[in-house]
Amino acid sequence: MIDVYIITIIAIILAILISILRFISLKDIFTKILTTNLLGTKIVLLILLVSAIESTNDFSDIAMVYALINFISTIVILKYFENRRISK
Amino acid sequence: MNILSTFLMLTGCITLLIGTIGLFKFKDFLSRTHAASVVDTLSTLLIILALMINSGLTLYSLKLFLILIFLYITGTTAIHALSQVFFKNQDKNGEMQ
Repeated sequence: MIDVYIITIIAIILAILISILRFISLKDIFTKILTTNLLGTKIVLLILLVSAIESTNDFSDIAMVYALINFISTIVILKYFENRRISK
Repeated sequence: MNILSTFLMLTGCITLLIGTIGLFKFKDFLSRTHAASVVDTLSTLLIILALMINSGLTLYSLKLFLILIFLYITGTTAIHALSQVFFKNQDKNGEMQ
């Protein structure tokens, strides 16, 4: 089963690299926010898989906190963007 | 049990890569949100379900289920808010920034 975990981790790292390349190569701000949100989801999955390989259950709390921070950061960035536009 | 979880996890890998490549392939922003939502819903469902099947009926499995529900609610909400801000700015500017 460890082999499947390692294959999945390699696929997630590949997807993270593709997302970073997309983040660098484009100037559209909305796609950048979308890519950042997607990176957070992938990193949550990566933490869960590393926790499954190490067979420790402590990392699931970290994954939950990471998902929460990811959601809050996306909403706060959007709120800042919206308010800056409205106040103009 | 083992075959089922392996199948689910490899399918999750494939959908993850497809959804990420979709960010490159689509030209429009709203199409890109479609490609990102595939990763946010289907891929997390498959991979976390495979981990839950491997873990069995334990407290860790319940935590994984809570993480799955949380990712479902927050991921779709974040992308919905992003599309709404995009629509408002599109109406104001006439085109996307």
